[in-house]
Amino acid sequence: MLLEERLARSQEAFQRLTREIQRVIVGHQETIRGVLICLLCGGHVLLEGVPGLGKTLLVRTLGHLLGLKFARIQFTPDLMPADILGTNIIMEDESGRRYFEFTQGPIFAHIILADEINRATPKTQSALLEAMQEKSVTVGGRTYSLEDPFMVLATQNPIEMEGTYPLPEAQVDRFFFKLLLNYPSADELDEILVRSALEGALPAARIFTREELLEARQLVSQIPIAEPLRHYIVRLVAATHPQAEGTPPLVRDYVEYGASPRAGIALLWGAKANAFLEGQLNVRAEDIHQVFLPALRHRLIRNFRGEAEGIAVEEILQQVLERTPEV
Amino acid sequence: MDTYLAIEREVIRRRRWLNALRGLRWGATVSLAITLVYIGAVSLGWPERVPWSLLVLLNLVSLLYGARLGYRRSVALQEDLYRVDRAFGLGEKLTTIYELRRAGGAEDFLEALYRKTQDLSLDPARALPVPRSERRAWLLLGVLGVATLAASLLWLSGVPPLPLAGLPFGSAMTSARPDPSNPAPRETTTSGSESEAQEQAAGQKSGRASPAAALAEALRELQGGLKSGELTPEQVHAQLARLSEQVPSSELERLLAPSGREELQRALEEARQQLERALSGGADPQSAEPEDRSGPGSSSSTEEAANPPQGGSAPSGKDEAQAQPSDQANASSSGQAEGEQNNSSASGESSGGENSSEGGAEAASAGEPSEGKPTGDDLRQSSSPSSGSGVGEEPGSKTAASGKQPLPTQTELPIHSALLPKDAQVLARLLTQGIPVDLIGQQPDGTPILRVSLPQVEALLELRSLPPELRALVRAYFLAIGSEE
Repeated sequence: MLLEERLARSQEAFQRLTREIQRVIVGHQETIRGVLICLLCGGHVLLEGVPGLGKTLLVRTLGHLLGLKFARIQFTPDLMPADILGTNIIMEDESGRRYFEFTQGPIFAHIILADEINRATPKTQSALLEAMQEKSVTVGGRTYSLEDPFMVLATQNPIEMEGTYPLPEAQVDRFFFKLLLNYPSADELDEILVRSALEGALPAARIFTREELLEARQLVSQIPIAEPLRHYIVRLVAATHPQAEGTPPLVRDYVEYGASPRAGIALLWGAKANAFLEGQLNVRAEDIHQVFLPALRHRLIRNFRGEAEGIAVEEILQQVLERTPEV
Repeated sequence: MDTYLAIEREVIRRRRWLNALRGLRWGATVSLAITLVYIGAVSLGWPERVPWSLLVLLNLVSLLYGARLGYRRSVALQEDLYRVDRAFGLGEKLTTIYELRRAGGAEDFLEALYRKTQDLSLDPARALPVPRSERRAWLLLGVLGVATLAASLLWLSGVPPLPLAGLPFGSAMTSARPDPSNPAPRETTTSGSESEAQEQAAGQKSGRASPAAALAEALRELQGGLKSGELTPEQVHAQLARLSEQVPSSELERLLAPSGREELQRALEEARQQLERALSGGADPQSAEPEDRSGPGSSSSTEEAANPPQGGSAPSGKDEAQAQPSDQANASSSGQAEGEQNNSSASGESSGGENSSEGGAEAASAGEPSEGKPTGDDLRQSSSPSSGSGVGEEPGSKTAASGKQPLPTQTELPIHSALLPKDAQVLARLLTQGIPVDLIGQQPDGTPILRVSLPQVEALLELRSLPPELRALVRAYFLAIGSEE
């Protein structure tokens, strides 16, 4: 089969997936697209938005449509790591002999919804670190691999900060994208109201198999990117560092720490996945532009002045994008 | 694949062309600089022997070398392909193909990209235009080039090579000579090429001429023109002003420097001696030079000029001058004959008119006795009551008597009638307009006696804002002609 045909088939599958998600979720096209990109790249998503915008519904719908094992973890202050990873429990065989048996926690799924992740204690949050990065968990001295695909979609509420534990930077950096959910427009709200009156909000059929997803991932990984675009990504990441030469004024004045190399990786792979979703055979500069904000907005740390003056990270990143030459 | 390769070839060709254009610009800049340096050096009199053809050759080499360097410059093909991609909205396909061809692998993607680009038809020149900065640079270069060319043409047309290593003194005077409608004076002047040859010969004789020597030469020409009536007083003033403007400032600064003052003084002294010799008609300058002038050069002359005998105007003399031309026409038949033979010659030399101009120039420059030009010796002889008419007499025979006496600072200048223009109006202008010369009398043979008013000369010099050394030289000149017996 020709490459174009394989690509076309995979792209058609993802278009169907998008359409099905949009039958449940009104609006939020960019968010849906970001989630699909992360799915294609094997990255994790941090969804941020006020309550009631459909964060949880989006993740549940995705898990349902993909036909993958889906788990939801509601993070609370008393949540323990064992509640996520699993634990060894004492078992007794027929002869009465007791032994420890590992019982998997909800982390052993393909799609994990870590709802309100910032409500758990740092100890519990850090339990996700190894799983997110290494795609394995270690319990009682034994390491257990997580099945591919493994994707964590964490949500957090930006307005209720009492009793929350903001995610440490090291953990935030492990999220491939940070996607923001905004309030729906009037038309979208009206559509939400109409759909809420219907029964069976979730689509019944699963339209995507695990094998199809893995093949799509393989295609995405093969999509070529030209050297000038790789250099462009390097320049973009370097431009977020205030101590670098020729950085934009907003970065110089309001940024404490710039983006990590993971940001560059996220840009590269995100651009590839975006090109795939666009039906392209190669990465374009537009693909980099489209994934720039979600890939970098949680990796930029503003300084005190930036926070005090209320300079938005998106504003800084927009200037970086405008002032960095493509060639 | 063929389409991609064709596009790649086009992009390379376009980039080489742009690089060649850029190299050509640098070559043109260098060429312009060479031309400016050449013109500047010529105007300062340095490359006396450097021909124009060498300049043209240098310019051509510079242009060709710049273009060749630019053309052979390496081409950043991937960047250019990226520009083409962006300009035509190709989604970076060309750049990616280049990358895959270079790095290898992903054959299926490469083939797919070939298939996607096989129907492309584009002109890379649209994506790779001549940069705006390049266009601006060419515009600036063009303006500078045209300005340089115009300046060169103006300079070449108005200022032919000049006596002193190319300094435009002589040509300025040549251009200021009477208009072509007056054929009589033109007969006396040599053609441009002849005068150039004479000037070059004079320059060669005296070695590499200095600006002061050129100044002396120019003043000598002024003197000749004044005496022969070719120049009106206004023209003399105008040329003196031009002389002051044409003296290179660098040369003046050099000459005015403490080390240059001695050289200038020597040159002034030399010029004064040449004037002496010219006026004395070949008399030995050493014997003719008074002892009080052989000291510190022209400074004493300058001091003398500062306190000249007052030569006020003589109304009666002027009245006489109105009727003078008709008298002059009949005054001396021999002078008249000589004047017809050679307007600039008042002496009855056997060398005749054919040698007069050449011999005069050489004599003027080399300090040899003049054979063809009117000299101060003639004037001195005619001014002396006992000398009678100096026309046709050997100038050198009289210098023994007049040359050994110290030159007084006199202001009377007898002019033989043959030296004066026949045109009465010209004479009237000469006597009444501007020039500080008064007609104070007439010798028995009809030779008018003119008096130079040195204070008026001084006032004129002040008005002309001449450089101090030049002013001293002009002052010395007037002193010299005023000191004629």
